Amino acid sequence: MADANAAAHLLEVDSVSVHFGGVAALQNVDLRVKEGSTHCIIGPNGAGKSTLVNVLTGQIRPDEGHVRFAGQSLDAVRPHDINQRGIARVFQSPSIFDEMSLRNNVAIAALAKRDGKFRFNLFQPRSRMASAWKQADEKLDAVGLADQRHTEAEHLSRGDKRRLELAICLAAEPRLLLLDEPTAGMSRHETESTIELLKQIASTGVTKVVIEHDMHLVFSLAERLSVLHQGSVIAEGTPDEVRNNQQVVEAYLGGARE
Amino acid sequence: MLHEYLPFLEGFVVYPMWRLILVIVSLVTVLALFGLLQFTRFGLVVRAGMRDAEMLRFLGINIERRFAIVFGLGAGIAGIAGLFGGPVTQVYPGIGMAYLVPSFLVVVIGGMGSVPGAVIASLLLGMALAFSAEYSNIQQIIIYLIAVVVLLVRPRGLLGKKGVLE
Amino acid sequence: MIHEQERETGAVRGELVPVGIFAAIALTMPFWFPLIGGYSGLDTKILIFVIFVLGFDLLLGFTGYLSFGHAAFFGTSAYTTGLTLLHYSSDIIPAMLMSILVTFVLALLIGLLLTKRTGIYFAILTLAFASMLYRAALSIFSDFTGGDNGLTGLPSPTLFGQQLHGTAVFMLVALFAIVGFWIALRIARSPFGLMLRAIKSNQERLAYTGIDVSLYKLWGFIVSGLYGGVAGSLMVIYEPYVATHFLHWTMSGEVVIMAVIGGVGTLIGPMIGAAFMMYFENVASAWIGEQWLLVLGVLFVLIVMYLPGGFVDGARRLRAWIRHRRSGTDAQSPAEKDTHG
Repeated sequence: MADANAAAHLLEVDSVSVHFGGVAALQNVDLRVKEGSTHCIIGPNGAGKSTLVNVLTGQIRPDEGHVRFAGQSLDAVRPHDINQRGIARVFQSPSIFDEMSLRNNVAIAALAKRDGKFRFNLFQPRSRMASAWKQADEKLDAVGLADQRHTEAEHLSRGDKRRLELAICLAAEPRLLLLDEPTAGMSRHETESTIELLKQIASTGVTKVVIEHDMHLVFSLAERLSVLHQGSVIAEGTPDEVRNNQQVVEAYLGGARE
Repeated sequence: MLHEYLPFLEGFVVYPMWRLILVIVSLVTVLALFGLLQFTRFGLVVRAGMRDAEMLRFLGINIERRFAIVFGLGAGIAGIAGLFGGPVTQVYPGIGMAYLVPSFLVVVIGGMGSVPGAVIASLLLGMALAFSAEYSNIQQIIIYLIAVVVLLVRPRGLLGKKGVLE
Repeated sequence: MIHEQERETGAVRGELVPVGIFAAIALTMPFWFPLIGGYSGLDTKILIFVIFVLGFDLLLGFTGYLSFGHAAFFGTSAYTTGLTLLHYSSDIIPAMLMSILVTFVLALLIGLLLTKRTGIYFAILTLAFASMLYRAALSIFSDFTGGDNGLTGLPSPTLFGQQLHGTAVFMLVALFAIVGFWIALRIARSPFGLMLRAIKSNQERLAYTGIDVSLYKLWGFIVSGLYGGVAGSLMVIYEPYVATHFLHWTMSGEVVIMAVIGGVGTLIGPMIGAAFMMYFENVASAWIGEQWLLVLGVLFVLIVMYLPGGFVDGARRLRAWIRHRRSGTDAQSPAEKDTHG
């Protein structure tokens, strides 16, 4: 694996297998994601997409194979340490701090980035909170929620909650952003605005891995695609290559193609 | 002591009638409760409501009323326990308090949402209390110790179900 | 619940004003408290419970974890203070230091075992630990603890060779209460406090932000336990006698009720709740007569059913209602405002 290209890969998944009881959720999955690129993972329900995300964030340990991030193995790294190393996750249904103001929502991530995973920090709160809020306001501005920063998060619409979650993730200044079906349950309009937002974020240079059902989103975002089917990667390449791959068309895309 | 007056009882174990009744009542109560929760429509709705009350509300089921009935049932069963348990223990105004914490422990050791779990746990605690009676020093400690050990080894109790009151 | 914007501006404004107001109220207590029927000494007891409940609120109100065994800290610390006074020195400094150390170790041990537990299981485990300590104090440790009689025959506590009496003890307790309140406010408005509240709100998101949730939870638990420890130690200094019920679960229950009727998560509310409970139990009960426990029980039920946010919630609703009446226009009540996106 020590080829010259390896350094350019931010995320390397090497023949990862996961079994639940006797069922193989993932079989020999390989994945290479280049720094700064957008990589989409598609596949029908039950193909193992969510398992793969959980492996990447350390919630599930692979039975075989390894995950390397920025050249370092994640095998024995605890989940929150994986996040500290620069992987942020956007959930299928927005996971935010409902009872808190948008500003505090994002400030938590900013503090996590600055203070690390734990800091017993009582005696200089004012200046630290003020600077964390300043950072939070910037991120909220970037996702277009700045004028609602004092609202409590639970009052937001679903689309805006997604924006807030993105702001939280961005405040942690990740190198890799994992998006697990970011437009699930959204209206067409909300989906469009989310795609716009994701494109905008792409310009900041953060690497993205997107798990998605929505082909429209996939083909308008992805630079590379992996197709998961029954726990295995059956195709990998640029959207055009995958679109024309006969195996994929048969296995999965046939009906969903637009 | 009875043997001294009635020598023909030699070799028999004398078991008080009331305690036999107690055992039968408790068996019947547990089985009836289990049957109600496991095999009737009412039980199905209540068990579903335990998992996701919101969903049942959307389905147009008045889950609050059923929970109220369950609450009433629980109180009634506690009443049965008092009625049949009273004669074999000491009764005083604060007797409820004395049983409050142990019954909490039974439910949690058995696992929230599981009737068989509660039965196993109450047998476990009851036996522990009975067998440690000789060592009065640790008798009271032992049930808490069991609770701690069980919950540390099995976070949801013996037969606890995921997602109930967590 | 305190409105978010208040929390934010509060963090900027600093703690001087609220701590100042609290100090003024607490320190003048010996002058005004007898006027409303409080006997001398009850004010000290109230402030001790204020400390206890502040710590409890830092756990329940911030991290959302219900400890049903906070008596463990109060009682263990009380016994430690008593034993140190009895066997080592009647000076309170070694007694308090020892108590704080023992409480810390106890909270650390229980906390380490409980960091992965949530909800009802957390509550029951804390209850089990506390009950275990209570039973142990009555049985296997009864040679040290005096068993059912409690720890008696303690020397009257001294500080630098001076005997501590009524006013001196009151001043000492008041000092701890004021500092305790200041630290609690500081925690509430610090990044640490923000993380604790985030635990209550959404642990998953917090962990995925790169935060070690169990470590924050553990330290939240320890800080909360230490408040209980300080309160327990002061209780013995105030009255040189350790009652067995200091360790009993009804003690834990009492502090839960104080926090809930006051308004969980507000710091001010639970302090008011503590004062109310103590006042009711000791003064108002005399006016009501024998049925006072019944009245208290009904009161709890009414508060929990109709005022789930406790006294603080009540005050806020009252304020909104008065504002509404005064303006006479279609001013919105907070409840209505909340529904706007």
